[in-house]
Amino acid sequence: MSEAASTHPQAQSRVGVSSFLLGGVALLLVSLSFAVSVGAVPVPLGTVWGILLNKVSPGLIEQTWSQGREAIVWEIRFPRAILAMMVGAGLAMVGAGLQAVTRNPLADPHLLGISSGGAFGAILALLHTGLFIGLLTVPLLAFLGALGATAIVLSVSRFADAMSADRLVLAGVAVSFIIMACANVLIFLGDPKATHVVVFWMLGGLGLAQWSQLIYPLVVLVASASWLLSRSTELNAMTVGDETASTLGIPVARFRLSVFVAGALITGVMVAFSGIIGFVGLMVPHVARLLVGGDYRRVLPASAFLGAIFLLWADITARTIMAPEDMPIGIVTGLVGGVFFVWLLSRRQA
Amino acid sequence: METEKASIDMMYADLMNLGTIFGVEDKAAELVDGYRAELAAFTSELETGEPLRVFVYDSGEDTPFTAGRYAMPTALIEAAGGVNIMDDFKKSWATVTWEEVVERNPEVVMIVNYGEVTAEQKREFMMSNPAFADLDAVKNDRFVTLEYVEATPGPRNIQAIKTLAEAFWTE
Repeated sequence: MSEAASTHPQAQSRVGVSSFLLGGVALLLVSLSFAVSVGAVPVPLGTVWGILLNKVSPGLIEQTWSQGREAIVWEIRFPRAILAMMVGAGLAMVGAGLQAVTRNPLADPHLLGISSGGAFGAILALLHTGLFIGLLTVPLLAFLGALGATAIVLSVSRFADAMSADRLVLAGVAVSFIIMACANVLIFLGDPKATHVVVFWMLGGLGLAQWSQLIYPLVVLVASASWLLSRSTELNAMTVGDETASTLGIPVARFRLSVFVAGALITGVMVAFSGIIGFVGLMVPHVARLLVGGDYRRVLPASAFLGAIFLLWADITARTIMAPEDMPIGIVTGLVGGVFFVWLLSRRQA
Repeated sequence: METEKASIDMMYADLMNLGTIFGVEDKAAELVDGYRAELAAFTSELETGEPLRVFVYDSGEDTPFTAGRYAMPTALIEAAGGVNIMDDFKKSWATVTWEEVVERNPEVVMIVNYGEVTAEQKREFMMSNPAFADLDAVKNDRFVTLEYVEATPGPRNIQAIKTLAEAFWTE
């Protein structure tokens, strides 16, 4: 990532940033309105807008649609689209941050064990303990699982003296395999009739979205993402190398762990509500760098926008391609992301 | 050849086949006739109305796992005087979208009970999710629970039909 050092953000970024932001917001709104108007049940665009306007200011438009249609648009599609944007933005920013502090282009929120912990918690609740504290049991256990996995990775990295970037990645991969093996033991021991529910956690999906629960990922995302944004210059320095960063006064090992923990918080809460959606965190930051250069002051917001837009479209594809069946979104992100990545690689070589 | 829609006759055919395999055709025929008579007696006393729209909720919160055209519950519900809202869905057991469920507005929800997530928790999930607030089944709190063995092909289907019919027509 040597572009980071060679770009001169002050000189070229001002106009670029504001037009990029405008373009991003516009594209996001277009994608969002498309996401709420398509689905298994066709709802005319006029009805969609009528429902939305009536939600903003009740009684504005005479209600010509059924209560069912209103529930589909407002209670199912809208929270789902908003969750898609948050998950996409969150995972992409975490991926960007981790790729900087590990200087590993393959770093990804799911590579470092965090998501495996989340899946483990969810599977434990669904197949073994039951919903002992009500309907929030599964997301709560998934989040605790993600935090537990983070703690294990941190202690392993300390125990194995893995304060360097490479060793943190290796510790994460090792822990990820162990936790996944344990999760598979839980699936193996669980009631075979019930194991199909596990697919959601392994391949991801946005079908759990409800207005009342969106607040949790929102709070974590806003807090952790603004911290990451505020550390853009440190992230820039980290992409150059540990020595350079430490000459600039950055406590390298501690900073790396802080980014890892902030990433774990975001990933944990996203996995808790959407399962393991692969490839977004890995791919989107690379696309963002291609578009805006290597400066993290732009890479992070660009990743957030691109991630949000990408996941909206991935979800639109996942729930329309085989309607009335819902395809797990991880299949779409993996397939589209993988093919796109190969194309990107071949292009760079040329 | 197009697969046939699930029907209770398939369960009878299974029993007859088992009878042939084990060389006890007479006993099998007797058993099947007994079931037929039992059901006929039961349904003749039943006062039914327009077929009720029934949604089979097996499991799943992100997407519902349900019974389609070829799954046993479609037959059980029909025998009890209802109609599976997903009976045009040409699958056995599969996932659908909640959108489709909301659009078809079931009057009764049939829960399949097994595993760690209890039938009561499944009911609670449907009752508490704002997306389902306007479903007739939720507004009138009409849920009926079948055990896993009752909802899959087997002799317990007879009891299952009675349970469903009582829930449909005597409340």
